[in-house]
Amino acid sequence: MQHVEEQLIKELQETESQAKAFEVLVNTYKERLYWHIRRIVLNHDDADDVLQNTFIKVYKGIGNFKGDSKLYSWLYRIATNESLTFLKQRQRKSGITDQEMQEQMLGALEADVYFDGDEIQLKLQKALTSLPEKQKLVFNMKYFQEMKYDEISQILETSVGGLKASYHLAVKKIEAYLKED
Amino acid sequence: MKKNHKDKFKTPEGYFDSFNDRLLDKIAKEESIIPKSDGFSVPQDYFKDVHESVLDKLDQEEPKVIALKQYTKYLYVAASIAAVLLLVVTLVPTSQAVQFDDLASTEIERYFEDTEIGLTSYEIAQVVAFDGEEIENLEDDELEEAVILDYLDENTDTFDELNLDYEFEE
Repeated sequence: MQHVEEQLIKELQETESQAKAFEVLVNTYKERLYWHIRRIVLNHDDADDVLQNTFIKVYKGIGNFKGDSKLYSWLYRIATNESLTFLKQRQRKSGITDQEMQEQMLGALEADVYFDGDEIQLKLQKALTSLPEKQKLVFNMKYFQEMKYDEISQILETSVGGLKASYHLAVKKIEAYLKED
Repeated sequence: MKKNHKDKFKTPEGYFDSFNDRLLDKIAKEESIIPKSDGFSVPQDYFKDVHESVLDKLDQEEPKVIALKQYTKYLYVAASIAAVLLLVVTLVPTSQAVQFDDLASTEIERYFEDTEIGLTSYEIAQVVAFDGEEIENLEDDELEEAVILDYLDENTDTFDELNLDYEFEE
């Protein structure tokens, strides 16, 4: 696996093999990154936009990738930053508070044709918006994407112990929220 | 990769190390009231076109980069011309030194307005030399009363500035 990844990075950094290698990279990671982004921005069109921007950033930055971290954690880090920046920019343009922004996103989610959630799933999203950013990220990565703590630790650059605490705290808060009438 | 030497089966690296954690997480998930899925969906065949969409967006972005480079090239040319002009102005010696008479009176007035010179009107009078003729001209000029009143009206804000500190006789 490590060897395959190293080979892919090498091909991405060489002009003659770059196009083909980029296609392999996109096809390998598009679904995983999409769901990671979608759970941050909630709306499909926004997730599509951010996913494309993420791959463009990767394409332009692959020459500078030193291999200090694993390729997938580098990709996830870019996807996370792009998603959060996207939301911050939208908030700044609209001149609204973080709270108002979250409420708008939830309102839009109810009307989203690509959200088939029932009442409890909508309530889950409401519970998630009440969490601090990091707890929300850790919960989504662990609970829905079923990532290992080691992997999340490399992406978010946080200790495994800290992540475990964040995750369990998030679960407790969400369960308490869902039990409320 | 960990190998079982008897039957040649393999498991992923670290599989047994993280087994307990994964088992506990799974049990917790089974018992939790948190839904297993979050209800998001995507348009049919969306993932098929992602690579194409990224390439299209990359193509759209390319002209911007070229335009920026061309603009930078013009900036370098403009900066070079400006630098040459600056050198010419500073290095070519001027034929005449600037004299006091060359200064416009408005420039001198502005200098005194803008600069705190720290001299009282008495000190200025001590320094500035008047010849007798100029003072006589001043004394001989008969200013009309209306002109004086207009001047005072325009140049004094309050009566206090007129130093009217004497008492009127009734």
